[in-house]
Amino acid sequence: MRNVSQPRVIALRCQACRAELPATPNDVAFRCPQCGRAWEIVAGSLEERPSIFVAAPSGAKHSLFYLPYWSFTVSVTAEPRKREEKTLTARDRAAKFERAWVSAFSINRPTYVGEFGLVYTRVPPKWETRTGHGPEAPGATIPAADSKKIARHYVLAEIDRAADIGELDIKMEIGDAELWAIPCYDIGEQLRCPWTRGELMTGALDDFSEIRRGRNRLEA
Amino acid sequence: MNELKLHALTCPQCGAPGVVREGTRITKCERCGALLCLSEVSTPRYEALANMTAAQAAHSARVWLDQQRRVGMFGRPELVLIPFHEVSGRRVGVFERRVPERIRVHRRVYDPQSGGTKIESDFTYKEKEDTKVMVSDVQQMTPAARTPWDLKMFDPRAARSVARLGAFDLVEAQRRSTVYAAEQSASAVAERRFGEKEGTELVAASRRTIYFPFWSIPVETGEGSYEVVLEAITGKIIAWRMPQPYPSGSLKWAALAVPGALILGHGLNGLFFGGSVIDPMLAAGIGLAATFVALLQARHPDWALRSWPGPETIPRLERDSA
Repeated sequence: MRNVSQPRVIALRCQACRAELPATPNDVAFRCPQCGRAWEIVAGSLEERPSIFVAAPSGAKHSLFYLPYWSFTVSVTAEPRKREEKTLTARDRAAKFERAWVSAFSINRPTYVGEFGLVYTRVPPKWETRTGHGPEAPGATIPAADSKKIARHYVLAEIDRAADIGELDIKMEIGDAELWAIPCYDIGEQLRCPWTRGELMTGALDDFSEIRRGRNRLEA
Repeated sequence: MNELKLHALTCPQCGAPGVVREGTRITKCERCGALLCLSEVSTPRYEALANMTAAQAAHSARVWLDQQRRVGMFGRPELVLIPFHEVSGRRVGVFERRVPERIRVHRRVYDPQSGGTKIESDFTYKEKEDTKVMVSDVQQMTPAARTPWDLKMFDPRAARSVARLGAFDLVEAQRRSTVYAAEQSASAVAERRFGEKEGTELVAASRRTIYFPFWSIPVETGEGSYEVVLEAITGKIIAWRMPQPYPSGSLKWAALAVPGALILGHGLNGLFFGGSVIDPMLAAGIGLAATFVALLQARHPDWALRSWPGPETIPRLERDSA
């Protein structure tokens, strides 16, 4: 019993409906399975975040699996210092950004295996969003504050693809974090996005086997 | 670092006292069953689950030994867990850099055929300022313990990508395996490797200690004690230890080549110039044979004390089809 110390402890219960929040060891934000509210651990206490889920696509052929994403409203203007074709394209591209998404689950080497959040930020799919009680989704392992920084750089990188951002005066405002639950098809070794058809190896997701076991346990 | 560190806690819901092991972040209250989350926690520890049983490991080692044309008696395979610190996250930032820009230039040059001038185009490079937006992954796997064998042949990132991770329980792990102690903290590794760099920062960083499983199999042969070490996830042989130091075997045969060459020389001298003490044909035959055997054997040196297998010597993992 050496090195005994007393860490701060939080009971993982929804502050609104008192339902137990499902959690794997690295989770920092959770979606209540009962009322659908989202909670994030910030400085040792639970803070509520707006919670949104995407409705299942019509005619789904495979079983659906919801994954957590942080989403932010984005307002960006990019004024070119020199009026060139590239900088004008960048200005138009910047004006189109309304929202950015960042995967809130841990992926092993996301740049290599694929990041759905970046794909959604580039071309937002046409999906139906809902609030309130909805599907169960695993917890988020990436804090909202870090995701906000990533979202900012996603948008900057997209503008930079059109023209060097050093040639633009960029003003960007990123809104507060919202926890989204977005479905994808669970097809064994891969997860497939119903809208973009992009695929993600399940082996690249940390704690995925534990999440899947938890879901199977609940279904049983 | 392998000592059992415990944290005392109090359930905020029912007030019941509890104790959790170091590295635990989520636990259940034993009285009210509430799910509890520890806000300040040390690096979480995981175990990469072994895909190979002891029998499969022994079979792989036997195949390898057969390939070496050696016969040996296998001892009991021992599961060894070795800690690796994994530091991962995403590096984001905006920074200035200078990049080469290719520019096409046109020059007017003298054309001897027409007697006039013609225009030639060429490329030239000049540096320009570029603002780079960086969003990249970072991942570092560092062995956290010293092992008796070298881990150069083990690729932790490759093993990590196929391994299933489970919760690491030190007490339970020590019952069935030898667990190596981590000699440095993951935080120290992270700070050293991924400290602040100009214009960029590490976000969504996670630190974890992953215990990778290895099978260590002792092999007794007529020449001495061997040890074969297999990675228990993909079944590759990553190291072996041999009883004989590297140079002696070759030196032994090289030393035999010297008298062989002398006898050969003596025989040839007798054949061509006469005056040999023994039968020149016999001397030449013995010398030729001894030199040939010595040179042949010297090309196949005995095993090093610690060595790594070549790709052709790594046996394929034979998994149960079931």
